[in-house]
Amino acid sequence: MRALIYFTVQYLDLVQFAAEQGRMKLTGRYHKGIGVVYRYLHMVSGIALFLYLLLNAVLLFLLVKGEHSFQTILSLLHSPFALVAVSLLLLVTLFHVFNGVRILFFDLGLWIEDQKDIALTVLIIVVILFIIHFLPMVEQVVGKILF
Amino acid sequence: MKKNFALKWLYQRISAVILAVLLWLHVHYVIKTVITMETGTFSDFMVLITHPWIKFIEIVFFFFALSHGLIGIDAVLDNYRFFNTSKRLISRCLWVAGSALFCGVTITVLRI
Repeated sequence: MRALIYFTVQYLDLVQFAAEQGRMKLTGRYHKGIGVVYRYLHMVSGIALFLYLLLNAVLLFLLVKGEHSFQTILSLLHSPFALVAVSLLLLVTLFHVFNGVRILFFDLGLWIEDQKDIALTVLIIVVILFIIHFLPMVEQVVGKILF
Repeated sequence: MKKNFALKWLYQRISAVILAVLLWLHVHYVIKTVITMETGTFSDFMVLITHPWIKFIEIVFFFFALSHGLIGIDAVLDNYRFFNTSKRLISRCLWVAGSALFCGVTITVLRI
């Protein structure tokens, strides 16, 4: 209960902060820092993931419909285009998850002074994890195109 | 109104942590399996999808992902004055559509 009250109070402070930021934007004194860029990217990646969720539901409906539709979906999923789409989805997901962790740190008041470093760390983690997962996919796509 | 905002904020953080775990399970056990499947393995897919734990993961994943996404879209609508006149209508339509989608997914998964 104490934690709930703590989070609520902190959130209301954040709402005030956001309102202040909004006012600054209107008066032209608003500086676009890395946090703002990440905030927009978080919003865009969230919308992309929501659209993927809808696609995932449609795919689930089609996959269980019968063997014929299952084979059609499977051949679609094995195309190079699908693998590129999956890797893009992976990039978006990784960014959304790790930026979410950054936002959680920010909301809890942790490392607020080091926001630029935290943002850079998020980017490095996302790029490393993406490369680790992306390279085998590229290998698979190139292998399918060549052989 | 402020209480509602605070609860939404708290729910977003809790659901995000739950989703991180569920997303990993969903990608590892369902997406990865389907993508790496060879053609002609419909029965293998059905064995996978009819497993009680996979059914449970799929339903809970959809519940948290949809609610997290819909609350996130509400926040986006709140942030932009462009949606001021229509945000309540857009939000309600999305929540109705989301609930219908969740019911559809749950029924589909349970009926397999």
